Amino acid sequence: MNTASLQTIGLFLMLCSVLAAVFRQQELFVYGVFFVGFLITIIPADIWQIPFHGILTVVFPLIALHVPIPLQPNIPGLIRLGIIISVWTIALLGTICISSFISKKLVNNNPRKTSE
Amino acid sequence: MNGMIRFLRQQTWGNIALLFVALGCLLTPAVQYPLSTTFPIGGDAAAHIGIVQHLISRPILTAQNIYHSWYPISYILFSINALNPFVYWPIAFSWWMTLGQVITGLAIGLLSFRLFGIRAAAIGIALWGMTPIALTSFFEDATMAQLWSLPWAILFFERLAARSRKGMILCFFLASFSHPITGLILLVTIIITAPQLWMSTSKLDAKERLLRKIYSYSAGVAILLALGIFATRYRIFLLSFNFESSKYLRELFIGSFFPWAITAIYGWYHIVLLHKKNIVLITTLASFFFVSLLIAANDRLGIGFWTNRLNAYVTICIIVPASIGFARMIDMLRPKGIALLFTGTLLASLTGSVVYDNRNIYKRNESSTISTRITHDELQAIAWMKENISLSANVVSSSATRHYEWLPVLAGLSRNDIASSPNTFLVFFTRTETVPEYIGEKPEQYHLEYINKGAAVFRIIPL
Repeated sequence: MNTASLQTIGLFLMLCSVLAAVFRQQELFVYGVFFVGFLITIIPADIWQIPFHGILTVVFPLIALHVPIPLQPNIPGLIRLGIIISVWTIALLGTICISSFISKKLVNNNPRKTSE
Repeated sequence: MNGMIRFLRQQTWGNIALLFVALGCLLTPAVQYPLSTTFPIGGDAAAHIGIVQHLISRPILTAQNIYHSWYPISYILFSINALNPFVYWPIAFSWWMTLGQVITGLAIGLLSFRLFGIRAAAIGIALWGMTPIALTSFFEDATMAQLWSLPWAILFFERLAARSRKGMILCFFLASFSHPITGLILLVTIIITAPQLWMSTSKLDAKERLLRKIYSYSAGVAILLALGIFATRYRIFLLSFNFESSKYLRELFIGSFFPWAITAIYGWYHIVLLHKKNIVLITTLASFFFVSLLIAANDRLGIGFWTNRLNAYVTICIIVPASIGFARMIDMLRPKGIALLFTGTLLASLTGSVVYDNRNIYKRNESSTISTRITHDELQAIAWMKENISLSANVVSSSATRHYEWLPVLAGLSRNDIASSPNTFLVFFTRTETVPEYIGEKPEQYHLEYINKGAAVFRIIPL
């Protein structure tokens, strides 16, 4: 499958998610489909050349809103907020750490990058 | 001025026309507020005016009040109104809020311009213009300090995009001293960004490495300070509040603004692609979204802390990339003239819909059957009190309405819950509360001094 075909599929998925949004389907589904389409569209183009952290950091809070962290109900609200933000920040930094490691490995094996 | 003319000469007619349409979209809903409302709703408005209104007559006291407040920069700017000898503070306040809304829109335009160009700037300005009432509560809640902190926060990112460290630091402090919540959000953004910059696989240039150092030191100091506050002032974190569901977030993500939220995803991709060399900018913007969304949607996390007031930051995070995403879409459309005409028409018609919706809300608030606004009769009663009651008198009023908050501002009188001195007056705002029967039954003890359709003022005769 060539780059143009992949990008067409990606754009088609993004379009589907927008249509699903128009008809008020599940939020998570809409975001999920859009994000998959978005990744498929950009992977063939520039994925190894754009700062991937920028994408991850934006996606993380969307996941955070759908994945509850079990906390004792008697913890005061502001402290609870601080804990949740801290936990998701640590999760984000951990993911970035792993993705940086993988990215470094892939970039080293990427003929386009090494030929530059 | 010359720079502005030179800038406009460099633009095509189509872009200039789009910019003017956008300015119209920004100004119309903003100006609609002071033109449709006779008086700002009490609470914060009266408190803000009370801090700065005596700048000329009591400058030292005013300076002390500003110094000890949470919002010194916002108050310093607002106190400029005191230089006008004919100022009528409630009206000045409404127009000041309008100015804050317009300046925030222009700041968004500047950031979008810096990131993508004039079309994105125009779209960003117009989108911010559509936010009053539907997506932000600044006008109705009179949250002046927070509104006036937003331009500095936006300019912080604009300066970051322009790689101006001094400008960034200046804007950070101006935002923090305009409103502490804005400062706190920027600080948390920096704390989250700093470790990401150390993990980045991309090579940073000398300027970016210096910025990374500044971020890291700021983050370290902020964390130590936060731990210190947590250890010594633990009570701050026990602040009680009522659970608040975010009505604006729904509007943003599944309501009328939803198409722009989707466009923002496309716009964000283009920001990342266009500014891939400016790692600090991308990481900081992404972290700002991270913090803003979690804070604005804290009701979804089971907290419900001030969600409506905290929504403005995530709204900005959607508007800026949405403006770029939409501008990019217009760029791809041909012919150019038709694309710009379509954009202008779309923005103008959406703004028209916002103006129409807001008109109904303002009309409802002006209605005499509800007590959100203070009416002519109540204002007349306060004016009578200013003329006829000495400043040393004790004025007692219930908290059935928030009109009593205007007594110190408009009449210079202090208000209490209970009678505490022989020179005491009772005020009832009779549209909302009734005069208790025992007062009517004892005219020798409670002497009626003033009455009209909106208020009754009694003097307590010492026995």
